[in-house]
Amino acid sequence: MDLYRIVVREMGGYKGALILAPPRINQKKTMFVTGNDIVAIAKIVAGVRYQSYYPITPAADESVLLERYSFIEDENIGPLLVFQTEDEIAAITSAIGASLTGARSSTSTSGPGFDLMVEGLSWAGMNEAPVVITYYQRGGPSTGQPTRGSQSDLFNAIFAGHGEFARVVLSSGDHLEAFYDTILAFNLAEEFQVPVIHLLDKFLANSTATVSLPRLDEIEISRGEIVREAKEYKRFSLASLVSPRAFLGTRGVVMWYTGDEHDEYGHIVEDPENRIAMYSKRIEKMSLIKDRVPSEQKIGIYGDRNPDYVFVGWGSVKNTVLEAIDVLRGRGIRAKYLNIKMLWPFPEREFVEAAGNVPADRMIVVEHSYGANIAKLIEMNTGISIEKSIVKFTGRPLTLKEVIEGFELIESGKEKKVVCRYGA
Amino acid sequence: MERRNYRTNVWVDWCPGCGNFGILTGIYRALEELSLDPDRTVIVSGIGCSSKIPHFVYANGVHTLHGRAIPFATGIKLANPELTVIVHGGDGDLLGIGAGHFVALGRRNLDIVVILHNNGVYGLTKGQASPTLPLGVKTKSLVEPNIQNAFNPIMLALAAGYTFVARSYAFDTNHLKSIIKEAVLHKGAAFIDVLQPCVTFNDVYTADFYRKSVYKLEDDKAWDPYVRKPEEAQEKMLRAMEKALQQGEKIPIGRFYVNPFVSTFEERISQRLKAYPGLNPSNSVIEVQGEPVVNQKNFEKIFRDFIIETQTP
Repeated sequence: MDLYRIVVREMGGYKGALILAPPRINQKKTMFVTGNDIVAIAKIVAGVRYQSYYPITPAADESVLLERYSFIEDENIGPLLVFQTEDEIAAITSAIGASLTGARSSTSTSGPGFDLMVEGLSWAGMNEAPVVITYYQRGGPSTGQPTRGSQSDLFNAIFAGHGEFARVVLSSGDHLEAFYDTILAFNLAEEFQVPVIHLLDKFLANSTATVSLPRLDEIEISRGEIVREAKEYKRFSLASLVSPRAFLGTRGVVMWYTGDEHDEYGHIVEDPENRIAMYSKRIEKMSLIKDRVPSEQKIGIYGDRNPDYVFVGWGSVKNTVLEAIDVLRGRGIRAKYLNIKMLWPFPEREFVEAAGNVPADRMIVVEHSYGANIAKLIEMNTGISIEKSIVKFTGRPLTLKEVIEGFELIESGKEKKVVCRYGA
Repeated sequence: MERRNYRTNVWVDWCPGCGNFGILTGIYRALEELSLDPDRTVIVSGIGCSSKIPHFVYANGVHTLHGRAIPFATGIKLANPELTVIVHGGDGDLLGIGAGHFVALGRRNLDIVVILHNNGVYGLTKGQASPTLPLGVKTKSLVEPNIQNAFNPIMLALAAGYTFVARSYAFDTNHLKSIIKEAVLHKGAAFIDVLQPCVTFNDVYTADFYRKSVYKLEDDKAWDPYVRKPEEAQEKMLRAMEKALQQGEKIPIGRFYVNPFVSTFEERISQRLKAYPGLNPSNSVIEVQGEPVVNQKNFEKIFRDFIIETQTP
């Protein structure tokens, strides 16, 4: 409020030209954070104990902040090892190593770094090792536009890696979502023993926002079934889709891990029957993950219940589209926004339900990419083919005006795909 | 979890006469004599013939990616510093694709043992030249003589900062065993270059060749690789390098350089995280009955720098 008074007094000389309305925040306390900040804070709450990283924009600030909170004895925080590795290959592989000892482990990176991590990701899939990769997208390909934003790595996050295995890919529409999704990422990784990719972007990472305080009493830390002692332990027991996990170092328990196809003990075998059982087990966990995650954490639904149009997107286009829906409402156009939060396994049932009776030619994808790739993901999973899109790939953030103008061009039938260009 | 027999019932599928058998025997005997607990020991390997070794040892085994055994092992050791961590890999694995990690471990001086199965070839892919095969050598699986030069693993380990640097020979089990034992007990990054014949693909560096060419540094009573005062470090390293340069007809095996005065990575971390390594990532509490250790009250205290009290006009 003091700041407001100072600004208004300074603006006195420009009367009539500029107006600043008084702040209206109906909360006693708020947080003022960047996306990197809120993810780091969430990781502390989630109990991360090992974070590796190789310096890269726009991910490195998260690790630097984590280091500040790596040990607070009085509050039972830590010790959290924030470890700068020699490259991203060591970042992912050392994080997996740490996770095998029972430490909640993660690494943060951007597209080029993620590309180097892919063989490690595949090892984590093969060995059912929980690990969280926080992936802040920036403009590619190659070095691309390293200090600008992008949402062009959707398929990279979902499909990178040889062979087939279960993984989870989550996205967040704003800072507060990113907080809760970070904690969900660790829970899913451990409950289902899968790698989890939290797919964010540079827009979120580096923009500051005033957000309400997260509600800590709503947070649960779930680690899945943990074995503390066993007579004859089988790390990859076929008795259930998710084998109870013992940590390296557990007294009385010995186990083997290998990137080769393996038996229940973790030893290399080529037997075809075992191959079918193990390979299927690793993939079929996906169905359990779908059942476990509540609908509202898969897709956020905003706007009119019986809309004329449905906007579809994920990640940081959310707030711009929500504002656009408000503007359109003022013009008598009813619109809805579907914020896809769980990108993989794709929530096809929830998507079909949320889309309701609106035909695909009244659906519009909004994405920071060339390909409006979420439309392809939706088609692959539901058969619904969305042809209309508002896209932007200059690395500059999407503006409200662009969404409105894009909508007008699409509604009038002049364009199917609108490429936005604003921003110097 | 005491044990005198560290064999598993997994079939050892190396070629008959492979140098890996000698190294496996050396490991069995070192583990036995040190009475290492299988549940508190982790054998980490990369990819290659030698990297199958964890499956043959009754102790925790992590068989990882080509070249990446060291970073996997680093994560394991950092998160649970109470574990004994031993890395195995071939020359292609540790010094070719994994060379960057090999150097990084030396810089850190983390308490891990690295055992190099050094046979000069990529055996698993049928004998291509590795980074330790000298220029101009033509093994039977090469179409033309090697046009890339070898580098010297002992020199590299010394330059990178390993604080225990030694060489042994696969079929001198007693020598190898005693060096492995000493490396495990050494605090800091330990490197053992184990000369190993590949009976199938390397017909130049054979068991016969090594039997004639290796000699033990220890046989020279004046040889003292141990840094006994910190100020001796440079002189001892220079002498170690001089020995390391001896290659060809006479190859020294034994301890080249042992320096206990360099801080370990664990000690450096404990300067930052006071309770480490006693309290560490693998044994610290993160939840109590499903609730995070951070609650609403201490959340606001811990993250006060990010929290603003707002005033309404």
